[in-house]
Amino acid sequence: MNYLAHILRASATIALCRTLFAYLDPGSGSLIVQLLLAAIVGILATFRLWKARLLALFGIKPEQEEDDETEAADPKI
Amino acid sequence: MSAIERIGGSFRDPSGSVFSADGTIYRQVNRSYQNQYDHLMQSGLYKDLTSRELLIPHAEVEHALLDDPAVYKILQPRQLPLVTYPYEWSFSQLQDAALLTLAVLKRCLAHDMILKDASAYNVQFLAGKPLLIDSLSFEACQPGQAWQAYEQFCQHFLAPLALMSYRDVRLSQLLRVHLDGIPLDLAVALLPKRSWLNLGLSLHLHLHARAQKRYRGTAPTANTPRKRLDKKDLLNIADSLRSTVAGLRWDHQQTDWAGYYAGDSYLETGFNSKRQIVSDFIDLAKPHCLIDLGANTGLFSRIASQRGIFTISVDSDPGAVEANYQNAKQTKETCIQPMLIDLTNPSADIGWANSERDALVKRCQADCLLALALIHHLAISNNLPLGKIASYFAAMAEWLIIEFVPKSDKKVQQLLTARDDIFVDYSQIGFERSFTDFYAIVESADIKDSARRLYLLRRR
Repeated sequence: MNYLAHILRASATIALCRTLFAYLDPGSGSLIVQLLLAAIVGILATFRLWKARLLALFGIKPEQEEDDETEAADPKI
Repeated sequence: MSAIERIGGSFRDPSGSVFSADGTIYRQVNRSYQNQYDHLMQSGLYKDLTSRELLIPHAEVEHALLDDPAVYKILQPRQLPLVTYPYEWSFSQLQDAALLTLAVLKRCLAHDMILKDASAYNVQFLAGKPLLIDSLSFEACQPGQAWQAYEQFCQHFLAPLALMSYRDVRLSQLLRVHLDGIPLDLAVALLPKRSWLNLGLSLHLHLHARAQKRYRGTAPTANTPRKRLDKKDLLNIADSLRSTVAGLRWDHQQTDWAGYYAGDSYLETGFNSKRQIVSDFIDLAKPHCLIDLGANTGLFSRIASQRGIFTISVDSDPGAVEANYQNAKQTKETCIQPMLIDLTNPSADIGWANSERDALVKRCQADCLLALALIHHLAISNNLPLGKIASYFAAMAEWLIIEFVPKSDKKVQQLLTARDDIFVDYSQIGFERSFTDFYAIVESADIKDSARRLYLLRRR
């Protein structure tokens, strides 16, 4: 965990701007850990993208994630 | 100007507040939030979210409060028939509310906005589907900005879902004690070690909890202009949370009551007879809103909901409520609201000044109760005198459809196997005597092939 702690400590000094309308206390640890998460999930997303491209070369379509956003319909008031 | 009543739970966000007037709920938008509100409406985000049925639609209305220069707009959102809380939801209800929140977050990012909070109390169920009800949860997304509500999302949604999935579904009740979500240090202390094998949980809960502990009281430097988290990073984090939440499972078949109707309480004739009598009684009472107490998976609730009567289908068994919600979801039912409620300890007034989250009875405007195969559990398992049951029910609604289960019934005998029969008043005569103090008997009928009897009662 020393390596992770080092990354997190270094991250603590970089930009994590607060916005004018934030009324929650976001928690320092919760802000800082997002920098590390962004790096990890970014690598995973890239890996998935290349995997999908590689599979596509062999004509294999990757499993589609279930859409989390419903279809747009007419707005109802 | 008609009297307005501020809603007790609406005080945290200075952007606005919720109030009621003449039985209608309104949302006040403060002048300080004007630019953000205008951005929501003009960027296309509002239209996008409402057309996808992710955000509650509203209309801007005239109101005397607009004379106050600090007030920018008054919104009249579509009215909800019932407000429910996360500790009253089954596993899938909380999971669907979490996925809804993440879906909204992704749409926000597409319009250069972000969710400034991620409270589970901002999600309600309307016509069977979760919906974000806080129209002031949005703010412009600043370059380099981390998600301010990330901690809140993990505490309100991910931690309870992980505990329900990996440890015990009843741990959702920690949300009653921790109104701002389950603290992550508590969640990770309760999670089994195998939860580290789930990458999403190890990142968003275990690592997150460690970072919280390490950096508590440390201010992240705010003035460095170097951009580190771009929109794609936030989208990746949202996707990671989504796949973690969606990947959590709980098997609801394992609880005592979820398979109740497969049991042997009735023969088929008796079951059909009971259905017919309940249908007839509902047709006589003609309620607008019915609460089915001890509804199990909602089989009898549906007699009412299929007539277009809004039906609150309440049970204390998480598996039964889960099955009820899954059924309603699969068949796209719009008139039924399954809820996890222990009738012997129903949701009370809690939070700041005991007015932040309301008791169940304050939120339900029902005019009919359905209490089938319930009275023996209250009177015998919970030692409640019949008079106390009658008095509580009479305070809740005008009409009562109730099934009396006599001592000779197999189910009552099971309850009495290991204890002394101290229930001298528990008889049909004792039941009628206690309940007629509060109600008039409108109709009653025996259930075929059974010693049980159904009553339609009307409050005196």
